[in-house]
Amino acid sequence: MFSIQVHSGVPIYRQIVEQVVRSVDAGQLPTGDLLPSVRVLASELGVNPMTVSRAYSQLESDSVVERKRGVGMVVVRKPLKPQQHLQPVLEQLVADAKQLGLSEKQVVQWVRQYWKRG
Amino acid sequence: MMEPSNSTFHENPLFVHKVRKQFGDQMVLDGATLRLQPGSITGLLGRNAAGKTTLIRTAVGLLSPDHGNAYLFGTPAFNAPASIRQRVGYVAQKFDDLAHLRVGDAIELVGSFYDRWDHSLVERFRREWQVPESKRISKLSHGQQQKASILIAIGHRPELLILDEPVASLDPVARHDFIRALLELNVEINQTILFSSHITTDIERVAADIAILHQGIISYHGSLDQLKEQVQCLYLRPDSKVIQQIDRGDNLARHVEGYISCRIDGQRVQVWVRDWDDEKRDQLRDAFGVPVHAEHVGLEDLFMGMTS
Repeated sequence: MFSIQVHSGVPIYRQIVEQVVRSVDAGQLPTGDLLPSVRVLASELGVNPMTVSRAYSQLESDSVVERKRGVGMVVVRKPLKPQQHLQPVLEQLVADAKQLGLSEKQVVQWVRQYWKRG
Repeated sequence: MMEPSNSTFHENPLFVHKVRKQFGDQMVLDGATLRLQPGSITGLLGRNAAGKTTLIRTAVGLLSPDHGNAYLFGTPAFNAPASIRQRVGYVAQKFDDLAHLRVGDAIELVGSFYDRWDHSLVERFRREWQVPESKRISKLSHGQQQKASILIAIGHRPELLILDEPVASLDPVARHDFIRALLELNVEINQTILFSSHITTDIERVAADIAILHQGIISYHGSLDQLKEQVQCLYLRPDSKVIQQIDRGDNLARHVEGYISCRIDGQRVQVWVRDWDDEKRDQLRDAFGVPVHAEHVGLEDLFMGMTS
């Protein structure tokens, strides 16, 4: 499930956090699912258990998972709705278009054009 | 400066406190301080001849410091009593003391020095690493000798394990196995581990903390993750004006808050900085009149920046 780049400038714990968040948002890790235990994931990835533990604590404080006694880390965050998924891209598109001085009409026209192509 | 009181460091498996060590007129350690927390895994990094082996040999009590002191579990390391030595495992870079013995006999001999010796642990790793029991250590390949020396160092399940370049002569597969074994030991017996290595990806994989030995002192000791988040590498367009300015000794530190170091490498100007942000970027861009590109980098690049 996880793929880690140890020599990356992004700390390993952050890579784990980002991958869990992505899977949760995309609905691949549904609410109620369990994350692997710290020990299991650390040994699977061949990384320090403290690193995994740190990632899990971060996910907990971001309310993505909850620590259930005797059970483990349970996914509590719901997957994103389609509009939420596109939100960052749409915001960026609109901001860039405004900066370039484009009209709404022009942008909508281009979106249509690209829609047909795809 | 006062000696630290016992209560402040008795919990630390290893505490090197302001150690100075000189060989002839060469100052190798010049006030190095390193304190390990129980259960931590720390990678010790330093350029060639930075003094990593001297630091390690002082820490385990094989060398006595000229100034300062090294403590194992709160007790001075040099001439430490057997009760303290029992809690420490040490794997030297070079391994000749037992070279004439067969592997099995060497393990047996070392095991007999200890009250508690975990035969099954040693046997498990000996089989996993395929170290032949009946071969003389001197007849093993260098990589296998290293594995044998590690086997001998872990049998008493030391709370503190110190390894000097343990993976240098292992092939990638053996290195991977070895690193897994280290992690297992760390989890199984909450072992504190210090290992020096020049292979930064191994350190990135297992060490939560890193210590950098540079110019006789530990110039950084802390979380590797934090270092990766705090320090960034800037790339300036190799504009002749920039290089001229730097060559003239125009101090980059004057223009860059959080400046660490800089390196001109052919056509590339690389600058390492701490706590970078957009405001600082604009400041630098205005000072030199070239675009600035910032990146988070891996340990190898960070190490270069911290020791340039």
